[in-house]
Amino acid sequence: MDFQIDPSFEPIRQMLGWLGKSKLRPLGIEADRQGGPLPPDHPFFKEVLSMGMTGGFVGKLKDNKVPRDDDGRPRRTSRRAVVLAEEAAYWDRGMATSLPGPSLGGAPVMLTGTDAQKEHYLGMFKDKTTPRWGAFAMSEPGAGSDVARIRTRAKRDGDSYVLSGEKCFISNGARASWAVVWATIDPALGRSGHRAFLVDQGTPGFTVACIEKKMGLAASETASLVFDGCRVPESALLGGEEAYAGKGGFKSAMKAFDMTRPLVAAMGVGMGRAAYDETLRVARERFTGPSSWRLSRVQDRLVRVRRKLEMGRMLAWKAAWLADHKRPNAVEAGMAKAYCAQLGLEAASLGLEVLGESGGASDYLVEKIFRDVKALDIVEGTQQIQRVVIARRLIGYTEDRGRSTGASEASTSNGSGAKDSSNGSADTAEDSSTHTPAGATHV
Amino acid sequence: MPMDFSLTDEEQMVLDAAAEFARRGLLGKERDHEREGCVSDASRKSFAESGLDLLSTTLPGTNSDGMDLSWPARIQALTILARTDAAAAMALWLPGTTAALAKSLGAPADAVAGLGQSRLVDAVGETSAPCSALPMAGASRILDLDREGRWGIAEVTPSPSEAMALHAAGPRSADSVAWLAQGQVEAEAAHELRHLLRLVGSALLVGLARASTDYTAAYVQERVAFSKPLSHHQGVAFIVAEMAIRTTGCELLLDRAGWDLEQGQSRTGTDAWLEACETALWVTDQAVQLLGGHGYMKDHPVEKWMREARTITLLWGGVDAARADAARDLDLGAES
Repeated sequence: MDFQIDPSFEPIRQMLGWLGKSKLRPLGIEADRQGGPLPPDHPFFKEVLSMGMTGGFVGKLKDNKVPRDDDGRPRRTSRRAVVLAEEAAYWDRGMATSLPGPSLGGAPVMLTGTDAQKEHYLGMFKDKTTPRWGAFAMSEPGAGSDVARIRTRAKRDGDSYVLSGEKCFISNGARASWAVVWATIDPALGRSGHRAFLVDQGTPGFTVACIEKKMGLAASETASLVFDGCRVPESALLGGEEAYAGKGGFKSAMKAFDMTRPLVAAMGVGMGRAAYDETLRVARERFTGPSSWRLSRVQDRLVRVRRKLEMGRMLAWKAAWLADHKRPNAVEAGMAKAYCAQLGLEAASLGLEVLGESGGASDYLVEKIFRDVKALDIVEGTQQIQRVVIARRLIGYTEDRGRSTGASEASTSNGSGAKDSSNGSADTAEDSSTHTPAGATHV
Repeated sequence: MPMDFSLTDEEQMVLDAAAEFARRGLLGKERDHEREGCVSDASRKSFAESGLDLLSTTLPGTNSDGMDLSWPARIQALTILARTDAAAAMALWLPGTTAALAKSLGAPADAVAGLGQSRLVDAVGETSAPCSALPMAGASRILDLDREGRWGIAEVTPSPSEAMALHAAGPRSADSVAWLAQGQVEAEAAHELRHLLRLVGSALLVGLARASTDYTAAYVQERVAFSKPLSHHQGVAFIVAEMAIRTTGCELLLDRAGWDLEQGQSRTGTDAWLEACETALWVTDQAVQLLGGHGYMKDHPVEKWMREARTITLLWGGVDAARADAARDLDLGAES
């Protein structure tokens, strides 16, 4: 075991630190005060692009093998990403999300896209002169965590598909050059009817309904999209039809989450760390005299947050390490995501309490972090959904499909949680996990 | 290799040996150990023959056991033993660690012999503080260490003590007695040892948490209530998921603390202890709760684990002294 941060990450982490201090945090505060994201033509985006910074995955995966570096070591794509995600979120998570790049759309294209799709849709980000964004359009007004209930329809019409429906809460959705849009070819097919399409901005029938006003993360653009008879060619189907054998579409989405949930967890740690640092700074200013009853309470809570940040970081790193080694990590990613998002909020809450009644004033960074960090507990599967994912894997939890499931059926699941739940009442990541079921050693 | 969670072949071999010892030497004997108030001679002999006893006597920066084994792996080995019988693991492991600590403090060899348990106390004075229900691991000497670096080794004449738990580690009570040896080290050095000792204690607690989580996870898949397994009730499933999250996180924090210790940063040991206390208390309680009436009965081990978690968290100054030690480097107020 070795928990040193990979030295090869240090140059970009340091650059990110400089960028964060000089740009991400002040611009994030500016966006917060203005109540909306920086416009896409803001000079910051060109500047950051010229520095080689992008948001989202733009690497390549070959076949289904563990990608390796020249020295034979497993490539550290996910570990690098969690380190940088923590650092970027430390300075400003909203601004980090707004960085030009494929954003959340990058992972599914990289995991499922055809070579031509990867070349076109990820290749465009090699251009370091023009800021561009991608987007991931899954959520709908009636399908948030329950992604199996998406109702955006994709109707085959000759050699094209026609998309109709609404998408909401889409990061960078209005400024994106393209979006990975999830739809169903037939709701009656459940998850096996899911398909993902690469839809270019400007495609007739594809419009941006609005940019949302939010409690926090003002620097991050969150859009609602409408598809009204939006016709896309057959080649827009992500990965081609063969990628959807069985429940391939759904699995593809879940695989993307296995890669991105550790990043969200790392962001929770980063934001929590920012809140902790700010709280410690304020506490040092306020507690300069002899010990008081309040001091010991504050100390206790600071050390509590500090150790939990370390624990959260290890959960995120472990999930990323598994991903880099192509090992199943749905449980670990869920654990990291569920834990760290709440942790970020706890850290921010502590900061507000140390500030006392002035904690609610927007003069203080922790007030902003408190509003910003709550989003992490909701996006990419709420903490409740993470617990569903974990419980399915560990103890074969299934949603209620009547009252006669019986113990024998549960025991045959052997803790793998491999039951189909075609009523689609929850996001239940299903892949080829070999996570060892819990077993008693004492009976 | 940076950011790497893998174990070396040698480390894996040692952990396999620990698991094998736990299976052959401890499993199925837990209630016997508890009833008899000590670990059987056969288990002690088997432990020594396995070579695992050497792991307990090595401090960071030394290589007294001759094994090229990382501290995360050493801590994992103790955790594996504690999953099966934390009290027995304490009885087998702690004397070696206590003796190693005493040696590092500069205690004379004749005072070190026969040491069993250590205490992290507020102050080492002219006489040692009385002990009550202290798991002595069959020994008659205790080591005390305070925050200022004062230490002392006391010979006690313990009497058997009625105790809630940890019977295999021989809980004993004794009145105040004079010191066999005393000394003082730098406060910083003392704190490093306090952090280290707490890390060892954390392994016992995390072993209990893992045992409870796994046992409960298996039980809820078998037990049927309201026409379906308990595991299919969301209220139950979410608690088991939370048990797994906290236990896994704690295991990783122990790994981190072990690694930090090797890098000369020992404070994470106390962080790990605080987290392990919180986690073990909550997880073992939930295990009893989810087993319901069965959990309260001695037919299942979860009630034992809950008693043991509650008792272990009281040792080594408990959580309050740990919080104070952990806050030292916050640099808040006139005195931390």
